[in-house]
Amino acid sequence: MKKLLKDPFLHFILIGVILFALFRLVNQTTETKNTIVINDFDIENIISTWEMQWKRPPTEQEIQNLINVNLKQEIFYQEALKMNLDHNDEIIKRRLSQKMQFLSNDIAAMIKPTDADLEDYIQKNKEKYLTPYSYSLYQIIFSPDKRDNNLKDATDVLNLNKNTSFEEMKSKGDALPFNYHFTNINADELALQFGTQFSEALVNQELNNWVGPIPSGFGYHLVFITQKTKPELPKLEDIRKEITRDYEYDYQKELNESIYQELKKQYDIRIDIKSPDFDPEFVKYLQEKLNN
Amino acid sequence: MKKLTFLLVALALVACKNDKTTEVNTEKETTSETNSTSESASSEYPTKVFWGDTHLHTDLSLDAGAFGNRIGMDEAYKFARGEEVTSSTGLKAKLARPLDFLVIADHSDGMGVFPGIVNKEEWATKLKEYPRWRKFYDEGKNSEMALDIISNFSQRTLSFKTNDSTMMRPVWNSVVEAAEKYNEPGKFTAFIGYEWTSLIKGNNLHRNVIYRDNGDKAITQIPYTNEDSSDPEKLWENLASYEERTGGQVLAIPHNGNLSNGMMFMEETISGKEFDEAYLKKRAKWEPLYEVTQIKGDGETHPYLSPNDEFADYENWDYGNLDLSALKTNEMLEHEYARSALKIGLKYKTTMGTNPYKFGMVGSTDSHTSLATADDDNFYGKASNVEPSKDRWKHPFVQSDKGIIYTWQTIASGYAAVWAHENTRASIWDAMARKETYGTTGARMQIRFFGGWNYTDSDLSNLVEAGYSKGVPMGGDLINAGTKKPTFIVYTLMDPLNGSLDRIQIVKGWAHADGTLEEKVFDVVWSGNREIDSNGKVPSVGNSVNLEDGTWDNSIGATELKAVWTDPNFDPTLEAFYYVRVIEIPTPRWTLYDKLNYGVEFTDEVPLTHTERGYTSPIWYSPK
Repeated sequence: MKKLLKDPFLHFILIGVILFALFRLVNQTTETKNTIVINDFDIENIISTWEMQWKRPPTEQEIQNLINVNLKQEIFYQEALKMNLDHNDEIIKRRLSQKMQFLSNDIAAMIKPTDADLEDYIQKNKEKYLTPYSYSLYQIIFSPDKRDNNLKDATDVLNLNKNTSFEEMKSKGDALPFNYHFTNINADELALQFGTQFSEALVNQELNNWVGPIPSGFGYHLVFITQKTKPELPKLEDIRKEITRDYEYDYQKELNESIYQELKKQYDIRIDIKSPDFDPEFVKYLQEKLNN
Repeated sequence: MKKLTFLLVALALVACKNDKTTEVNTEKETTSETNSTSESASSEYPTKVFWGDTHLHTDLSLDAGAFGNRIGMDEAYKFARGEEVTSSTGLKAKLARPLDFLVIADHSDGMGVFPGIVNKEEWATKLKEYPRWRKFYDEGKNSEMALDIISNFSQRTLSFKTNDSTMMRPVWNSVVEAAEKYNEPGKFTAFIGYEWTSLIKGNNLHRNVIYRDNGDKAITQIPYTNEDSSDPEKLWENLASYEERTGGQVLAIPHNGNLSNGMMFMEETISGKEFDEAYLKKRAKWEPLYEVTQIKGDGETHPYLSPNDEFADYENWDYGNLDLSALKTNEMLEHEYARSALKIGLKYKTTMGTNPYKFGMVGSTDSHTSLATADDDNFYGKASNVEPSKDRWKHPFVQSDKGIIYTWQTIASGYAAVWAHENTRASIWDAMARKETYGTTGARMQIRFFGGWNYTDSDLSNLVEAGYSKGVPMGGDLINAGTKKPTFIVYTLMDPLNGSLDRIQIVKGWAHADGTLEEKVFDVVWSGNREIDSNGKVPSVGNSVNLEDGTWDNSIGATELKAVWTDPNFDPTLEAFYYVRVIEIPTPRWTLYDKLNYGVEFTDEVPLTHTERGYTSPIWYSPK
């Protein structure tokens, strides 16, 4: 039941049913007679639209004219509806379908997610919210600026210095403006400093040994990783603003789509294309595709 | 009435589910907002450069919408933060590296008109232009519609007022709200801003207005428009009244002047008055930065202005103004390029005591696709009608009876780099105000530039500490040399995902006592063992780009360059500026990636490689 209550399409249908009932109720009295009421709301609308265009209030004569124009439009509109002139009018079609879209946007904006919704959303989008790998490491770099063969130099230093102290190792590489020792730096920041090639190569390196050479945009690195923290899902409290924002963005898109899909289920869509210009296979494909 | 009933019913339906969460949300939002204005200086000087775009349009801009942009602020922020979004033409778009900050700077004039036309708002349907635009829209003629809008707006022949507050208010509220939603102090800065779209007979005098403040202040005043006035002095008055009323802070960045036909850096006011000291001071106060490079061309300098500068001829747009209603003449150039404007500024410092054109540098995209990218291998074009596709290169970007500018002439440029203490509105804005910034054409090289009186080579081993403690960073001032000569530290670390470095240059400009102006470009440090030739220049680094596969060889350039430099021709009695220009080795231009991705056959005039570059804010010298 709880799941059903949260179903966006159900909301949409319920609202529609209630609207329809209310509409019947409100319109009962006017249904039989042709009555047009012009009230305060209408007249305010007419005047403010005028003012926006002309930057001054309309005179009484102008108000009278405006009401006449509106009246004529309303009467023609009512009669046109009776004659079904709105049917199959491209512009009216587009406008009405757009109004349905707005309706679902409005609903989406009103439904605020609960903590459980957000937790659920995080689980479903784990990949996106997992924190990056994080490392504590030492690194030295062999720059092509200063060496004829920086790859060979890096390899040689690695082979000759399996047990060299951190203090001594520091001076084996070239001076570039990077830390020798990083504490708890995450892979995203490493990628910004050295490029993704470097940060991605760290994932499978063994710990507590000098390893490499690992290439980056700046040359070859030797790396000694002392600590590696695997990606984990952050707590809702720590990313609440971001999650809420993403949830609402996706929810609106999903709602639009699911309303469309639900409504579409109620239609049998037939492709009736007989033109020899079209491959029958393609027509068959269309037929299947559009009914799914 | 119907709408109201619907809302009531719907609210009743969801109300019970909702109460708790709303409460929690409000609390959380309040705390994060209070955080963002207080600047906590974690160290004495900025250690990190933050990358951003100060000039991005979404579908809220009349012309962007007309060009086919159907995605908005949500997508713009998500994309800048590094998330994948779907572009207006249905492509999956993602940055290789996220940006640190973004200013959505939609045109304030007609803000919301386009959505009004699309949604057939009643007021919109009554516009004289409505039937014409609606027809374009319904027939999918996006470019025709956009060019119609731009040309009528440029020539002030629109039938309606583009600053109607009933139209603008709800849009401005949504702009502020979106910025608040995506701003995350310490992680990503979403500045509140807009573009004041001043156009005088098609001459582009746009300014991007950026607030230091949060939404509570910025929301109180709707943006200033070209409809209100095309005169920058009036804009400054408006900004001053905002600051006075709210206690907030705001600055304006002039759009690349290359489409202003000589009006961006004039030697009289827009209203034709002679400069007075008050005017000079106001210009310098409100406009501390300048957009030196963007998709519509690079604006550092021009071969006509700098005939001895072999790198001057870089992606210049010297055809005419914004709508090509008036063509360019040579006399206009000195009043629309950054280097010559900096020189003109020195002239006024010498003769009147105040420099109106004392600005720092940023680059930005001016993209109208909601996608802030200046990456050649990930270029979504100037507007949504020229998102990646086989034929976009030959699409006319601007067309009039006087000429055509084609899409291949647009460039994937640029970004704004800011040396700030932390990633917050306050910290980044403060760095902009003190001009500790540089602009690049899209590469993210790290550039440092310091000026002082006694730097030595030994400072290079600890150059940041030495730079700040013994002198001033980019954007700073050196005063009264006495018998000393100024020394400078230049430093650049290449972008690990881009080309290596060809050279670092210092561009010097100076003013003689009689007001005559001079400039000189010095090669300071460069890659390899090249020697200065008989013309006094370092020879070309060569071009290693393989046109068949788009690769290049970084070994011809350097990963890092640094040096201490002393001006050999220094005259302590003359006003001068020094800024750094960093040149990368040649790399593929976006057109080469299009060629490789789509198998396009270009005509010979289309360049396939280019040299990305960075321009720092100057350091100024003054005898007093």
